Amino acid sequence: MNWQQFAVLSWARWRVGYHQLRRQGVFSLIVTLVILGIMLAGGFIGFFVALTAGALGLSKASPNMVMAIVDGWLVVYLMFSMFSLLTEMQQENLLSVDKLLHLPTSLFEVFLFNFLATLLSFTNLTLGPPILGFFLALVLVHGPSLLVGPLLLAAWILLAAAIITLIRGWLATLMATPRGRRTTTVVISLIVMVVFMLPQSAIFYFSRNQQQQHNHRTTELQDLLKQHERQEITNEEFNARFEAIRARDAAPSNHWATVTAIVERVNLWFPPGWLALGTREAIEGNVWPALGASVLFGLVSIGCLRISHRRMHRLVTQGVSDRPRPNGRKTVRGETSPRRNALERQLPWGSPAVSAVFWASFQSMLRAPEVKMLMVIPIIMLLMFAGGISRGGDKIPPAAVSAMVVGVLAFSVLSIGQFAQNLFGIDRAGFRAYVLSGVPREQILIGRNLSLGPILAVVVVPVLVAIRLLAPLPWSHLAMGFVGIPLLLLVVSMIGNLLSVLVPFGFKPGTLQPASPFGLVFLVQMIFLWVVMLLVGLLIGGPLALDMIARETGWLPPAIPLGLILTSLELALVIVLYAVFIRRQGEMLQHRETKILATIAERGD
Amino acid sequence: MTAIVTAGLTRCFGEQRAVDRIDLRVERGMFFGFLGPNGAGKSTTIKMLTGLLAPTEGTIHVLGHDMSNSQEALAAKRKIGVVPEGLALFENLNAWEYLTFIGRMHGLDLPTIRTRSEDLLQRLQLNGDAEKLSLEYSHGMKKKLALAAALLPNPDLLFLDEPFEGVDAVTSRVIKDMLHRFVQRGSTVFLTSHVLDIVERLCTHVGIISKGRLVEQASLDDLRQGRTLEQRFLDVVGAGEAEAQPLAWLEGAAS
Ligand SMILES: Nc1ncnc2c1ncn2[C@@H]1O[C@H](COP(=O)(O)OP(=O)(O)OP(=O)(O)O)[C@@H](O)[C@H]1O
Ligand SMILES: [Mg+2]
Repeated sequence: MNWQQFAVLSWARWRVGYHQLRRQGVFSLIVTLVILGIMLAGGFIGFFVALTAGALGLSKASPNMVMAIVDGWLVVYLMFSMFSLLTEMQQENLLSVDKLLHLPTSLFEVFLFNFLATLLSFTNLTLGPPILGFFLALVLVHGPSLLVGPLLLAAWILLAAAIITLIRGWLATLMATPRGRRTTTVVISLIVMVVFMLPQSAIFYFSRNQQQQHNHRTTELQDLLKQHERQEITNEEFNARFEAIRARDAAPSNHWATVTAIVERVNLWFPPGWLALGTREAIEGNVWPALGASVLFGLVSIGCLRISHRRMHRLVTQGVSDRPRPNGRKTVRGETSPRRNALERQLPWGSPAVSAVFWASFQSMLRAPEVKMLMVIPIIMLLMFAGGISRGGDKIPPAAVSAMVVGVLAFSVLSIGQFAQNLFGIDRAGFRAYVLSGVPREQILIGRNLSLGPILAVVVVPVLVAIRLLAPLPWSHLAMGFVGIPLLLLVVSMIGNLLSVLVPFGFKPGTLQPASPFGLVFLVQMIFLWVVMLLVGLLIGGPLALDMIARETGWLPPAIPLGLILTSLELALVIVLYAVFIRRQGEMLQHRETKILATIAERGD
Repeated sequence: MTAIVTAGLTRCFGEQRAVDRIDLRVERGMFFGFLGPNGAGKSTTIKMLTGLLAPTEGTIHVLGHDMSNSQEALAAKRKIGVVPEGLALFENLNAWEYLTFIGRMHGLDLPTIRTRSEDLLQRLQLNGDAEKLSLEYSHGMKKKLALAAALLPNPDLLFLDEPFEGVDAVTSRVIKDMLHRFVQRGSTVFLTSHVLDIVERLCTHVGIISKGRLVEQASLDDLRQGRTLEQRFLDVVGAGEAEAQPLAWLEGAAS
């Protein structure tokens, strides 16, 4: 690749990014540029800050402390890398080989360019300078033997870039087909989600332990006090035991030591951690681990790069067809008998059009990876609630168990809310079919709204049943949860229809991210979120609270399921409201449908 | 009753007048070819005629229905079939399901939907791929499915935006025959195409749009005046300058 080609590729890369941003509006552009600017400047300044602060403070820091700092940086670095990989996946890749290979440049050169671009990634430009400053400070403080630090750091950055290149190539193969592309995006997002939840659950677990210890101590002290009051023990004995408890708890619990041990173990088994471990060893006078790790990192990087390059070569020479393979189902040419399909089914009531819209939306949603992603929500909820119950054992107050019903509903409705508040943004071409149809628009809304019902039910029912099995949840409260499904579906639909019509937005393909992440849409989403939470609390939490108060105070015989009666009444009322409003909303939709189409479907789609 | 009438139809995108004060008149039973260079405003016009895009100014009557009135627009939509520029397929439905959807939206009964879908898929040579999601279709296959969906309700008026683009020779022959008989029975077709041969063979009437202005609207014979359609088209849109100058570096001696 000659200099001119290199320059033009860099330029094109920048222009594509710029136009992608600009299409999302000036506001978005400015916000993004400002954030980028701040972060880059932050990286630059961070270098000097880390250098001076390190040079002044590091002489006092223990080797373990240094290890922890490097580990902290590593965590941030890994998260940054993951995020940028994720965002990158959602952008059209200008530099994908197939767009360049017909031009006079070689495969290896394109590969090299991409790799260099990865080395100059945003992550490296922001997070690199501060840690480099830190490592240089270590050299200043601990002498030239610490020069292995920057070496190890360089090896790590190289390794990270090589692995990213490898993953990117692997993704490119997976995403060669539209279906594969969407599935991959979703799977990766899921993985990221889980990875991000790990530290949180660790913290949760940790704080629970502390909480338990604290509870334990409180009861111990209370017992002691009671014994003392009842004069069962002498003053001296009281003082002695009190001091003993205090001394035990005041001892700098071996927290720090335990944590260090765990971190050390993780560092040992999780190779990126060798960066931190090697640094610590170097400070303690042993430079060999750092040197060894550097060499190993370097070798692995070269291996990764070779594999990526070979794969790219194979991809180009043997080629992957852009066309997906027929997906397993074999169809013989000439066979024409129409299969009975879901779209032929008629709902128990409503016009054929309502059924058609219902089944078309339902079927599409089942096949869309975005919705499959929703199905992890019950799993997460099960883990959360069931896990909480089983750990808490019998000590969970019944009121808390019943309150879980509200929690489950709120959680599920919020996840459905994504779709409810933007009914038409997901399938743009599909919306065109609605606009072209001669069906009264309220029927389209009804069909779309109801199609979310089964999904909501699938998310809610198993979790409620599981809670009932694990804990003493009264039957009437369980039933309230079930009544809550249609109730909240209709309520969320009414609000969602309004938003879908008034502030529609397109999604980035294959994700649930709005095409323009800043601005009005974001605001509306937040408000929608709050309003829905409020309504769940009001409509389900309210009756539940009244029910429980009535039971506690005994002004109603426990046989009367007050909460269930109230929610059923609410359901009846909401059905009436829905029936009244849906006509009006249908008219609104028809009035604004061309505007919606223009918003969600960009030109060239 | 006239199939399509517009008066002063205009659509602006920002400063640009993509469609500029067009007065169209398409009688029933016409096979109307709407021609024009790239970016002339053909697709924009079709979108406005079918209710996919709101006009900036002007009125539209389709099959006697005023498209600015929402109830009448619905009535018109029940009688027309459309293959719009971006198509209107559901990515995640297969061909059977999509046709069932369209049929039911038009209130057809199930046996009718089944027979017609079967016929259409067979004719358009899609029957081997009827169980694939339209996400997995090729460009031409998507076009054909969209056409099948437009024909399924047996409309009175068809709007086709480049129906032959990307379609293989065999199927395009089938489509031509179908459309020909469709017009012969008294229905109306409004299509855009860049393939002047097809237009010349099929259309009875032609409109030519250039830079948003309707510059010609006449029967095919009146327009041709004994010459070929291509010659007339080039005259009308003023392509003279573009072809006159050879590119010395490209068309000179090869290096
Ligand atoms: N959504 C839009 N936003 C901005 N400009 C648009 C939009 N849609 C169309 N245009 C502009 O309007 C003009 C007419 O576009 P149109 O798609 O109608 O052309 P066309 O005659 O169908 O061309 P082709 O033969 O290439 O399909 C073009 O200049 C185009 O850039
Ligand atoms: Mg066009």
